[in-house]
Amino acid sequence: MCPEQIIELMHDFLDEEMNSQNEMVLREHLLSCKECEAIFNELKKTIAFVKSTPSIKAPANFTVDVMNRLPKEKKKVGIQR
Amino acid sequence: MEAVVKKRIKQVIKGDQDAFGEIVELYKNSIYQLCYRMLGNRHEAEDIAQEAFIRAFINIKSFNQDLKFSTWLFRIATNLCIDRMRKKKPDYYLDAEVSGTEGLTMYSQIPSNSPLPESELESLELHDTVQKEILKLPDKYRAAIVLKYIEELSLNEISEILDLPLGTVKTRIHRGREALRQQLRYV
Repeated sequence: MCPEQIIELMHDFLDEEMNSQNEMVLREHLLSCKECEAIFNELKKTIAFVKSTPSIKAPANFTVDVMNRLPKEKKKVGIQR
Repeated sequence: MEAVVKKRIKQVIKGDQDAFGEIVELYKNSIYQLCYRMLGNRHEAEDIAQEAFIRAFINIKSFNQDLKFSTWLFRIATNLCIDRMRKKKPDYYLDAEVSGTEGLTMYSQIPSNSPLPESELESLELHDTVQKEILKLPDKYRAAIVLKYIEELSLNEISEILDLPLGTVKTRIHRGREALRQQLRYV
């Protein structure tokens, strides 16, 4: 069982917050440990999958619908008085 | 873009409601997308995304104009999504979707070393699978993952949107990533 620290290093790497010394530690470990290498590749694949979801656009009438739902403050005040 | 937005906000505060329409146009896609990825349902996403803009309009005077408007808007939308998720019957939509057999079964029959299929239908199924797995994440991990990888925001921005320390945001992204890895490893 590999040290939890290696998993932490993988996440630091994926957060792009890794110093070169830790990167060496991680790379050396991955070369010698097939299990961790697989986990690391799966993590990278997971991120690629999530990023690959197509971007979605709001429905065509979105802005008009929002504008129609905004409170019409002045008019209401006029009617109430 | 922020400079234009700040100008429009000043106009809105002065009573020019139409200026708000331009703000909606600028952010509608990213806010709708956030809501859709969080809620997994187009109708609900539209409802909550509209609600987010309406709340922003109503509370625009309380927006601190020294801050980034998009951060504030994302915060409103994220909170509304989380509220909606908590009010839902647990797993109601998940159950409805799990009954479908597409996606997972097909992919699980492909040996892991074969290249990824590229036809449109198959990639749609992959996207479906990914979306379903995102929807299975607990709300606090889901928000962090969607903001990071769908909206492509920085960790610092996410920490402002979620009103959480940076360290907590990192932990949530790490756990979310790990949960997704376990679900998607055989895809």
